[in-house]
Amino acid sequence: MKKTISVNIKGMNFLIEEDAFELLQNYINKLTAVLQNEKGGKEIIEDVELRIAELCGLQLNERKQVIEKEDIETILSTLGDPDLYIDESEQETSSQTNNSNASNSSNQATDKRLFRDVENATIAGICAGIANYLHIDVVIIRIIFVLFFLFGGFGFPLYIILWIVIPKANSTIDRLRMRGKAITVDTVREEVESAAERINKESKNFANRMRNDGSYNERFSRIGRIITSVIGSGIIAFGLFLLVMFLIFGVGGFQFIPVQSDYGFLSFSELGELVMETQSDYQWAWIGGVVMASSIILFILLVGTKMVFRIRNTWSKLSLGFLFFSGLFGFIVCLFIGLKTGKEMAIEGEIEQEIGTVNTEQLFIETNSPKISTASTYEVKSKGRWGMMSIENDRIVESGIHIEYRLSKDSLYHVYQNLSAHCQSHRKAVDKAQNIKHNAGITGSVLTLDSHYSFPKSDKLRDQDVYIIVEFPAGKSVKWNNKVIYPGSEMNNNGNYEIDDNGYINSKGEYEHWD
Amino acid sequence: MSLENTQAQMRKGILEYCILSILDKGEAYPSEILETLKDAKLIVVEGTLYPLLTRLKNMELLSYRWEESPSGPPRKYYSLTNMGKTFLNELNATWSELTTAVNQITNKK
Repeated sequence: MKKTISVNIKGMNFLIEEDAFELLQNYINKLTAVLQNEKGGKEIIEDVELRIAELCGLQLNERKQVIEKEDIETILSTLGDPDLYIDESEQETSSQTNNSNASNSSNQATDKRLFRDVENATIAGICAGIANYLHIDVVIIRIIFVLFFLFGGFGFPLYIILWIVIPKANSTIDRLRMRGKAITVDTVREEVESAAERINKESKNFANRMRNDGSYNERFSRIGRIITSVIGSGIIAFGLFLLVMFLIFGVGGFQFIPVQSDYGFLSFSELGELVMETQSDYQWAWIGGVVMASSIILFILLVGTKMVFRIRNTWSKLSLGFLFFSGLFGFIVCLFIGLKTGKEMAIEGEIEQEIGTVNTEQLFIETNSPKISTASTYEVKSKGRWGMMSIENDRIVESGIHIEYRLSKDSLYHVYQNLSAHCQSHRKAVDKAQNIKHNAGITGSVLTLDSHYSFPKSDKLRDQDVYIIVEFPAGKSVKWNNKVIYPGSEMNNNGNYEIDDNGYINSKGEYEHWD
Repeated sequence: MSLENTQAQMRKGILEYCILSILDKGEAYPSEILETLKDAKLIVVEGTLYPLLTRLKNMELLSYRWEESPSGPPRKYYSLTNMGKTFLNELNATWSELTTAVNQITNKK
């Protein structure tokens, strides 16, 4: 069983077996190649086709309706090899070099060639062109390209390179060569007819295609379009990411700031409440922040969408303008509140009080670390040290006490407690410093220090800090657990002790000595 | 150069002359011309005829007209032009000279 196709040769219809047709096609192709530069070549081919039609007709009778491969083989052997068609007496008149050139170029011309099939293109017709060249369904090539793109990612640069390298099938002749079809009057007409059909189908896009007429422009505007789409998609993805972040942390009140409190972590807005001076400040900051963030996110999403879908209308421009100004408004509100809050932090106030005076050979330091009610033990890094903040009964509890060593003027140990806070005026700062509660005491030769201190929630976070100043007699030492520390035991050139040491009690109640 | 090649060359040289002679007897379409040439064993493959016909036509020695065929594709009937006739007369003269010359040479011994 063999597949037959119907062909029209010079006005005669024949049923012909597929392989027989291919054989015939090849013959005509080769003949076209041979005669390409020959004077009257087309006419010769026409004559030959007439003869083929005639001979085919002779092969058929009542009982035989289909041209078979053997028939074509007989016909072709009668016609002889296409090379014989070159009229040698004609050749002699032209020069030898011309001839070799002519035959070379003619061979190339009908060799099947790789073109970009822009008529059947999704992007640039590269897959369609390759499919034509290899006689494979274009879907397979496209799937391979997509796989290349997804795994390893070299599908994209490969595609761009092929785009630049492979010429576009511009003319009907190119389209025939792309498919390896013979260039005869019949095939050209056929191709032109199918092209006309396609144009009808795509009449909507036709104007577009005309605009990008030059292959150079077309290539670059398409590359540009792809790059724009890719960048636009990236921008949309970024905008969506920001949106999710904003919904989680800004509006959603996700408690992510690790603070030990009765209610676990703090959200962004809860932290804001602990920092802002008044409730209205906080509300304004919230409004400003939400307006600014949503404007920026919408702006980004709109820009991305415009790039991907190539929207160019006044509506989108107006929206972008509006979003720009609303974002600016939100920014100004935030800036204003930020400056106002910053002012609250501007001036430091401190109070210092003596804890006690000890006459001993060695001062022992003992620490109390708080038994924190919540189970969480998250640590926050602040100012390069591990500290911790917790909230208990309207008081903010912070951990981490600084110790400063100074040389005593006499033979006694003197211990001072220095509390500091910030506010917009010195008086208010001192007030806040006075609100700091930190337990420190001396019993015998033991200095007992809490590792934490607290202040009222209403005081807000104003960089409250506790320093313990230990003045010690020259040459004497401090002991913590089993560790003996000799702060400033080195003498300088003037015979004085250099004191450059500090201590720090962290949230776990451990002593760290820095020299 | 093989024997076959030499034979082909010899045939080709006189092919033009023979085509014109066939057409001198009356108009004919390629298949008829081919039949005559094949009977005379002047042509082995048909392909060689078409370029010749085209060239002779381009030289305005031949002209053609189309005629519908009852059983096949339309036929191209070739005939000699006046120029073709003059050309053929010249060739006739040359041919008789040639045959005389060839006979003279090959029979001489």
